[in-house]
Parts: sequence; C-alpha cells; structure tokens
Amino acid sequence: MINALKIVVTLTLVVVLSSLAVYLVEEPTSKEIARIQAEAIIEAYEEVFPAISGTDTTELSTLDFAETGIIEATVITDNSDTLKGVIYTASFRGFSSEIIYIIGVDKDGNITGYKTLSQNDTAGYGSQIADEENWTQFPGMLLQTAGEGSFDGLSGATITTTAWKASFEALYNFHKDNFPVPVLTPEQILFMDIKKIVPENTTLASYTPTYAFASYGIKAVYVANDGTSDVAVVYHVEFIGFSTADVNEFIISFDLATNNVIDFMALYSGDTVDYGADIMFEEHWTQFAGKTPADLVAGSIDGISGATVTTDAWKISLQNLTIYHQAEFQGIVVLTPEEQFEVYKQDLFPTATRYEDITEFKAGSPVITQILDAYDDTDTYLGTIYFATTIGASYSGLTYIQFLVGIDNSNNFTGFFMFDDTDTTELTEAFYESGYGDSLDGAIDGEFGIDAVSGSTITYDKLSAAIATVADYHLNKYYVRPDSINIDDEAELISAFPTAVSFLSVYEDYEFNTEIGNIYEAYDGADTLLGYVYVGVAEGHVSDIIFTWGVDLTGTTQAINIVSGEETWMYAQDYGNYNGSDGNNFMTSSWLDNFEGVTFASLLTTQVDGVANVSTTTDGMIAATETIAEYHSDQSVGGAG
Amino acid sequence: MARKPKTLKAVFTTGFIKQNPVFVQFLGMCPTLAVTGSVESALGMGAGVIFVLVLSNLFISLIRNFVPREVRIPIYIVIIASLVTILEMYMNAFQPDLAKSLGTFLSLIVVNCLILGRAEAFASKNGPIKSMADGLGMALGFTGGIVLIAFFRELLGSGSITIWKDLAFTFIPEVYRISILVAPAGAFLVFGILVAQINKLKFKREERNEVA
Repeated sequence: MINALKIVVTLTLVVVLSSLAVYLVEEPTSKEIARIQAEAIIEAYEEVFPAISGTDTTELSTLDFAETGIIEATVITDNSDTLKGVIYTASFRGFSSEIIYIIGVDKDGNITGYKTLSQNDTAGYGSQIADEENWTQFPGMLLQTAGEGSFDGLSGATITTTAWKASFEALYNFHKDNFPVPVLTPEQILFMDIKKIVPENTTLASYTPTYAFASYGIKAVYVANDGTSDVAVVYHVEFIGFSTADVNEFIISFDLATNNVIDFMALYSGDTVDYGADIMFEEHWTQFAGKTPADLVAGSIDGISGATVTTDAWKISLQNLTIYHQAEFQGIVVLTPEEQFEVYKQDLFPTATRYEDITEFKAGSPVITQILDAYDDTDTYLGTIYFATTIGASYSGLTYIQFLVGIDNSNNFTGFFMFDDTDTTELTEAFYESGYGDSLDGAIDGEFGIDAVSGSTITYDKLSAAIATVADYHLNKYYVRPDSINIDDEAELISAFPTAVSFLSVYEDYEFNTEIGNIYEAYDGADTLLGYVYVGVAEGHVSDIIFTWGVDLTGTTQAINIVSGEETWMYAQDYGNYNGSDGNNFMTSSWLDNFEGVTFASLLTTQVDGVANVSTTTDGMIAATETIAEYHSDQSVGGAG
Repeated sequence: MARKPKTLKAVFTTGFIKQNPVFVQFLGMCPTLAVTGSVESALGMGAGVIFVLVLSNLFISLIRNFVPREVRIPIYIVIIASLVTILEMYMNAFQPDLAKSLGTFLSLIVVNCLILGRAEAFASKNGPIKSMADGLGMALGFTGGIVLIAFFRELLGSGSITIWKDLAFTFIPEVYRISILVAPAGAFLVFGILVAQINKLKFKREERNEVA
C-alpha cells in the first residue's frame, strides 16, 4: 500500500514538475514561435500576393472546403471593403508525399503567385515541385487556365503532375463558385495568350489574308497593331505528332519589320506524355526568339528529346507556316516540296500534260527512286523524268542529294534540278540555282556536265557520277522490256482460237504493254494466218488473271479462256446467268461470254457491265480487254486499225 | 573484490572513443544516418543531444533514490520528453531554420537509445556530478561521431562544408563530387567505412597490447 502510494506520489510529482518546467519555457517561446509563424505567413502572403498592403484586411474564410483539398483561404479586402483577392493554402497527394502549396488569386481571377510550402516527393521527380523555376509560370496566368491544366507539369513525374493539375482544377472550381470572377471563353483565353507573345500596348485583330492558310496547318492569323500600323503577326497552328489521335497547338509571332520570330508558345499537346507532350515546357519555346524565316524553313530548331516523330511533324508545321508567312507578308512565294516537284517537272517537259509513273515496270536501280514518262495532250511520249538520289559529300555522316533529270524521246537531256539534300550547308545551295534547269543538255551518250560550284568538288563529282548512272540506265535498261508470258500448253491457245492449229509469238514486234503478256499469230493447218491470240493480264481480286483471247483478222473476237487466276464467283449471287452450278469457278462463268463473238470496236463503244459484289474481278477484266482492243488498233496488229 | 570506482575524468572520456555511442555502441543510429547530410545539421542535433543527455542524467541522478523501481522507465521518459519538448520549443523559437532542417528527428531524441540507455545504465546508479560528466562525455562522443560522418558526406558529396548558416566553405568542384554520399545510401556507406577504420585501429592496438 505504501509502495503504491509512493509510486503515485512520485509519478505525480515528476509529471507536475516536468509540466511546470515546460510551461515556464513555453511562455516566452510560444510568443516567439507565433511571431515567426506570423512573419512566415506574411512573407508567404507577400510572396504570392505582392499587392497586399498594410491597410488591407485579411480574413480567414469560413466557407466549406470539403473535397477541394483547400486547407485555408484568406480573403483580402481593401480599406473600402472591396475584394482584392484570395490566398489559398491547399494540399494534394503526390506520388509519394502530401504536398502543400500556397497560391494567390486577384479579384480578376489571375494568379498572383505560387509557392510550394512542403513536400517530400521523390527526389529528382515529384520533388521538382519545390523548385522555384516551376513556379515562375504562374504569376499572371489565369486561375482558369491553370484549372484547365494548361501549365507546365514536372518532367518525368506524371502522377504528381496529374494530381497537381487536379488540385488546381478543384481550387479553380471552388474559386469560381464562391468569388465573382469572369469565366473566359476559349477565344478570350487564346487572346490573352497571344498578348504575351506580341509587343506590349498593341491591339489584336483577326487578319484577312490574301492567300488561304488552312492547307498550311494554320488555324487562324492575327495581327497586332500599335495604333499606327501592324507590327506583328501571330499564327495559331495545329499539327499532329506521334499520337495521331490528338493534335498539338501552338502560337508563334513574327515581327513584321524584320520578319523574325518574336516568341513562341505551345497551347496544347495531345501527344505522348513525357515525350511529344514536352512541347508544353517553356524550355522548348525560348529558342524561337530571333529565329529567321530561313531558320524555320531549314528546320533549325532544337527538337524534343526522345520524340523524333513529333519533332519532325513540328518542324514541318513550322516550315509550312513560314512558307505561308513569306508569301503573305514578304511577297516571297516559296513552294511546298510537292509544288516544287510539279514546277520542275513542267520545266523539264514544258509541253507535257500528264506524267505516268512507270517505276514498277522498270528494272530497279540504287540511284533511281522514281521514273516518270511525260506525255503531251495527244498522248505522245515526250521523254522521261528520273527522280534520283546520290550520297552526298560529307564524311562525318550519311548525307543525300535528291535531284531530277529529264531525258527526251531522242535521248537528249532536257535539264537538271536539285530537289533536296542534307549535304554540306552553303555549298550545295548553289546547285539549286534555277539555271541548272538549262545547264544539262545534249545527248545522253555524249559529253555532258552540269556547272561546277566553287568549293564543292566532291558534291559535283557525286552528282555528275549519278547523272551518268541515270544516262546509262536510260540507254541500257529503260528499254529492256519484261519477258513475255509464254503459254507452253497449246491447248490454252486453241481454247481462245478453236479453228487454229499452230501459233507463233510476235509480241517482240510490238510495244510492251503491262496488260498484255504476249501476242500469238494463229494459223490453220495450211499455215494461213487466221488471226491473233492475246495473252492478257488483268488485275483480279485475289491475284492477277492470265487469259488468252482470240481475235480474227476482222477484229472479231473468238473465245476467251482463263489460263490462271484464283478468283471465285461466290459473291456474284445477283448475276442472273449464274446459278451456282459452276462451283464458284470464275473460269467457267458465263459472264465471260460477253467477250466472245464481238468486235473490238464494239467493246470500246459499248462497255461490258461489271458484276456487283465481284466488281474488282470483272472491272479488272473489262479494263484489260479494253486495253487489248485499243492496243490492237493503236499498234495496228496484223494491219488492224 | 569490489571494483574500483571510475574517476570523473574516466567517466567523462569513456564516451569519446572507447565507448563511443556511434561507432562502438551503435546507439542513436536513426539520427546518425538521417541528419548527417550536412555538418550544420549534425552540430545542431549534437547540441540538442548534449542538452537533453546532460540534464536528463542530472535529474535522473538526483531522484534516483526516490524513484520506485517499478515506474523508473516511465519517469525517465517523462523527464526526457519534457527536456526534448523544451529543447524543441527553444529551437522553434530561436533557431527555426535549424529546427526545420532537423525536422522530426528533433522530436525523436525522446526515443534515442543513447539517452534512455545512459539514464538506466549510469545516471540511475551514480551521483549527479558523475552523471552529468557521463552525459556530457557520451553526448560529445555522439556529436563527434555524427559530425565526422557528416563531414565526409558533405565534403565529398556536396563539395563544401557549412559550419553554421553563412559560414560555408567550398572545396571540391561540382564535377568531382560523389553525389550519392549526400543521399540516404551515402550515410550507410560512410558509416560503414568509418566503423571499419575504427575497428581496424582498435584491433591493431589490442594486438600490440597482447604482444607487450
């Protein structure tokens, strides 16, 4: 009992004395702690709301902050009791810690300042929220903009960034529901952003262009006027990067006196987070100030690390808008690559009205990318354009030079145009001179050469060698026609011309046509020429259809016989003459009867109807038979036509 | 045969090296690893430990003959907690930056094994003068230990040494710094290396004594 009493008394005494000691120390320190905290709060308030003054009244809001993450809201009013702004202290859960921040909002809904008060997020990732460089974007930004998530997140910290933006969204929703701030339309917000990239004290207006701009990826054009003249132009541009499901948007301003870039700002990115979407970081914008149109056309910008596809698309969009800017405001018409290609083609063959891409029908060449035959309005072959590529001069890395060479139907050069290159800057440019359109002439098997450019000996040699390769190709390979399709089983020929007994291939005497595999003369037993059997090649649904088709000397067709092809007739249920008894075999379809016992002339004047549901097959056959009918007349096979 | 009582000097110096709380007894490891990112923090923590350990040893020694054995630990805890609270209030009031840098580890001095360990092992059995000497010696040993760790971490990891506020010296250019040493893993690394070195010296001395 005594021991128990001793325990109680001792414990009581110790606790009382300890409490007394703590109380004695608490008295002087608590005042100092309160003073320090008050100073810290005032300091933080002044930091995030610089306009606060000693005459203002601050009052803690008693509003319900449930579900908003807001810890505290201090309402600031001036001495006439008018709202000056609100300072919020809010928290949210980052990737690995609770993050507390303070933010000031003025009466117009503009953010006056931001500061992260505490965080313990992952070092190097979420912890970046404590870096002041991530706060400087906020002063002047609309809380609405921040609430919509249109601010720079934290590089590599997707989860913390998402939570940060969600916190801002909740804070914005709370603010607009409880304080009278104007809610701006997207257009108004866009104008506010544009104001940031044009000279101060200018007024903005939509621009009425001379040239249509939609095809350049430009959504809108605005001009900034200083009261006497337009001093800047702003382009609102959209492009698709790596992620094809969504767009990227930016605005860029040009000084109309120098035509150099004033500023750049990305507005939105639907691209991949941490890759293409990094275009939203200001570090990618600052490089634009002072860029010349030539820089943008050349794509001389720092791209986004790890986002090659989006960077390329961004560069192309900048090229396009600059090309537009130069045409609209500088009077410099810079053609797009496609337009330039058309101009060069026309220069090489001025009377050409159409070009036929025959690359797939010709032998391959490591130098030649594309072969185009030029025809005039009477369908006369004028010559060939070669689109070729050669390796450039640089030894430090792989470079290329793309160029066009024209060769007419008498085997003379019609010109040379440099089209694109990654070769040595400032040396290959001279090869783009329009004079080169006329500099390459003369016979392709004679002496030829383009003008040399001082200081670019290697490039010149590479180009000359590549042109020589093209000339050699034209002389020795262009005219090499593919092997004819030989029908070894004579029965296939007899099926097409039943009264003939022997056949002789004569295709080599005529021009090659991609839809004709061979032409046989058909003879009777007395070796009298009865007519011809064409070996046709039609494009089928499953594979090419090879067929033989007889025609007599009067141009009347005999029989048509399918030699090979994997087409079926199973979808041709609506074809009246087909009842399914042919086992879905196109080869024996009665539709083929349309091509028998008729003249070539009538086939060309009255086209055979295709069959619904098997249109690829029937249209392919119709096209091939019409080609043969035309060819028979054009080439005067056996004196026809 | 009764053991000869230690002299005051022996009591005071035991904690320096022979029974160093950090490198020999491995007491108070949590703050040892947590606050040794900078010399300034280590000094601040050391000062706090000196204050609490000296006074707790003093008070516990003074009441040692009146405290019932059954409740001695709760009473020690109450005393230590009160001292830590006083320390915390003082630091928050007059050294707010240091208090902020020490963070929660300041409060955690309450559960530092060194404090309670010396209360139970020494102060509860010895007079106030010796207890204060023991507390001061152990606290200085602890402070020396964590400052030594902090010195290497900060010097090699940050390239500089900050003694107090603006009293800072930069020695190593950024490119030559070993930044991992200021990360938590660096605390274990430096601690391990120092313990190994101290043990090496200790074993050598023991070998010499045996040979002699």
